[in-house]
Amino acid sequence: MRCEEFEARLNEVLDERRALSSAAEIEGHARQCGGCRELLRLYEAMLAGLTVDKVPAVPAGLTARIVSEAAPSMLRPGRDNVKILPFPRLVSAMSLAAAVLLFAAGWLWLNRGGEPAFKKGQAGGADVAQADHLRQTHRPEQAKSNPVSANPGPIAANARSDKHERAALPEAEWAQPGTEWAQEVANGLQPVTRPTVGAINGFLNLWGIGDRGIRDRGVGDQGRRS
Amino acid sequence: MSHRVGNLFWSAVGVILLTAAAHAADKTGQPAREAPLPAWIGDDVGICLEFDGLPQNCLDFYESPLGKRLRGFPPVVAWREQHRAQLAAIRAEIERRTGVPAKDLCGRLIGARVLFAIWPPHDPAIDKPSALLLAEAGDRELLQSTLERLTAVRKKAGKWRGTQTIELAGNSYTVEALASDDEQSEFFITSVNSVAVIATSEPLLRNVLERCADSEPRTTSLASSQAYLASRERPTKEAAANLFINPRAWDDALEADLKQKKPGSEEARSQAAVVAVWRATDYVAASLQVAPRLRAELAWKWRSDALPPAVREVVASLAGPSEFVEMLPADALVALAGRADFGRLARLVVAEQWSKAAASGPRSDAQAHYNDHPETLLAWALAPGLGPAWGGYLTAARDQARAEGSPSVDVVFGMETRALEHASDRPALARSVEPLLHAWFSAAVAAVNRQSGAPHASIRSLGRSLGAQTPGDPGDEVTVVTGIVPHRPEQELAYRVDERDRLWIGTSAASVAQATAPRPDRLLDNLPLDADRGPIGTPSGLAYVNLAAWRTLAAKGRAAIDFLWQDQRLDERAKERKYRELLAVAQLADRLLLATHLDDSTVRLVLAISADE
Repeated sequence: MRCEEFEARLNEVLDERRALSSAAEIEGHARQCGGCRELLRLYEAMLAGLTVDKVPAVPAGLTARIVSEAAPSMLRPGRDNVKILPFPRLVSAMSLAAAVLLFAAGWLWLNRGGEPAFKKGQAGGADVAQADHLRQTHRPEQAKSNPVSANPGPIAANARSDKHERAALPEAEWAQPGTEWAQEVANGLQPVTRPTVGAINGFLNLWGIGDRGIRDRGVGDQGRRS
Repeated sequence: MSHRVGNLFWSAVGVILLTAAAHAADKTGQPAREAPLPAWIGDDVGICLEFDGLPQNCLDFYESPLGKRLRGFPPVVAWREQHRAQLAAIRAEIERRTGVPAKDLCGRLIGARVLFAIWPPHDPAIDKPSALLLAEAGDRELLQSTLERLTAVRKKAGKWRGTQTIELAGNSYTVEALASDDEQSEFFITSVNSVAVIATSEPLLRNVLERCADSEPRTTSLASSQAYLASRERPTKEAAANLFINPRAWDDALEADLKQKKPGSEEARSQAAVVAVWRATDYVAASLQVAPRLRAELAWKWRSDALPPAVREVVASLAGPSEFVEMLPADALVALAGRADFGRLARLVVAEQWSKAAASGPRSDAQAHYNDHPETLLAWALAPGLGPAWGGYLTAARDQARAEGSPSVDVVFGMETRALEHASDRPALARSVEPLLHAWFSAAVAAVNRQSGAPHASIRSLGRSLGAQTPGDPGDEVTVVTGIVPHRPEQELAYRVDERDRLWIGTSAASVAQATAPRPDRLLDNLPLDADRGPIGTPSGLAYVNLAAWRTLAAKGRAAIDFLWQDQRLDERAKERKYRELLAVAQLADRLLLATHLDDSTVRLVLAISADE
């Protein structure tokens, strides 16, 4: 199995409600590939989080009550019987768009470091850590017993090595305009800043307040003695 | 900052304050004015830092309200007490090295004008930068004796290299050659009348002597440089220090450094962009004024047509005055305003990403990126409707009848919006979003009330008068939502779309209503800038903190500003400590301002800190 096929195959198994342990090719590939192994662990953690709480029972007549209560709220207070939103379908579409926008804002916020939180064949360190936290919180016993799920140590190690793995990726996959620009500008201006600091330091050195300045000449000691 | 560097810094500050104070007690005669010091150096200088009236400026700062508050600031008082012995030792060392009592140093020795200049090395790999110090002394005899003493001290330390005499235009100059402590650098010292000349190379010193012998400044002098003159077009008369950076002097060094980078590498690409911007730069200049207020000003001038296209596009997206600056109230505790053409920036970013993706692989990969992240496309799609002007501020709550437990401040944020499509007759983005917000908040209110079993939450619309509910354009009303903020049942959220398609969001109906009302007391008219606001005009961006207003608010008791750390899970002791820290810091000054003005070829940045008597 190739990495490109891993996630799709994993989804197929999950869609079929099969146990992951029954998919030998997935487990086999996960043992060999660190990125896919992290992906598998992320899915496991998500499933663990989703299954740990019981699904509440739906009260009878819920749908009818929602519809009956939502209808008056679509009327603007103070304007009885005047519909300010004449296109209910448009409203629904825009509500969906708003939800997507909020989700997008949250997604962008989570990815404010300039790196997608999750990529095919590679798990983002932060998300793995979150997923691990979720797993540890909800299903600690499963974390211990599952042979595929590793302890937190390798996760941290993977998070540390993630930057190195990222460097090998095509630039377009992770580079975002503006990220690390200040560092790049500072690096680019080193031919200006380095000699400037050197010249200033030389003059301070002449007057005895440079790197080997007052303190080396015993002024500090003199001050302490006095 | 390391402990050692920190000590040195504070030591230097201490020396300056002490010498300034001493100068007040001992006013000596002012030196006869020589030719402008920039006429003594060439226009190939890389960096030139000038001090004008340093003793008087130090004294002015020492006696200014800001200086008085700084001297009384508890950490400064404690530091001076703690380092009293070290300060005395520094004074003694200054006296030993110069033969001048520390109290006389600033007034008699450094004098009125100081110039420090740096030239880049010809070959950064093997050469060192050249540097020059010109200091005009108030007392010529004292200057001579001080230089002789410095030479004697160096001789005693075995750091003296010799003496030579230079004859120029009938004048004879005695030049002493000294070595630095590490013997890696040489210094050549002489004096011209009351001006001390210290250079790191003999040719540089000779060049200075030749120039000062001329009756008129040479056309190749810094004083005749077009870039330098342009940078001083608007000299701040009260400026204590002026900095001029000549980009042309560093071109070769930057180019040589760029060639050392691996071609095609990320490092080489980013540095190439920096070098391109540098080459388009005419000058960078800065000035510092210390009295009656502390004010730093930075000016960066470039040739717009020489900028890389992407940088030029970013500049064009951010350039121009921000209308929201005029909407900020004078009594704002904190205010922010700016200008950004988000649609233009979005187009630039998307085009850049697509070009990079296309260059790195098949086009389908680039498309796949957006297929995998459709939310990115949505954000980019909405961006053209946002801006360009935006702003926000925080004020003490004006509503006296505010419910118990409500915060004592109001936060208001506003943003200009436009139609998503350029030159279309579709409504502005705010007009489309406003009913969407209403539907979303209505659903939230219904859900909260349903969950709690009581009608705690509400949504209502108020007319402009905030008293009558008026029919008409939905954009003319303030919509108020109450009871949906977790843990803050009395918290209001209000929003409005005004007649100019600006979306306003605030924490109370009154604050949103007042945000768009005509303002008799604008912050713009009360900024701690010059009377004409100097080159800033109407700023492109502004950040403002009214510390005096914070003190007034805090004087009502800690509860008035507890909102600052409400979500930090602090215990009472920690809250009390933070409260006292804020009170202490707020004593330092009355107003802080960071303002910028950007047009297609210049950016000016002003940082001002002011304190009233």
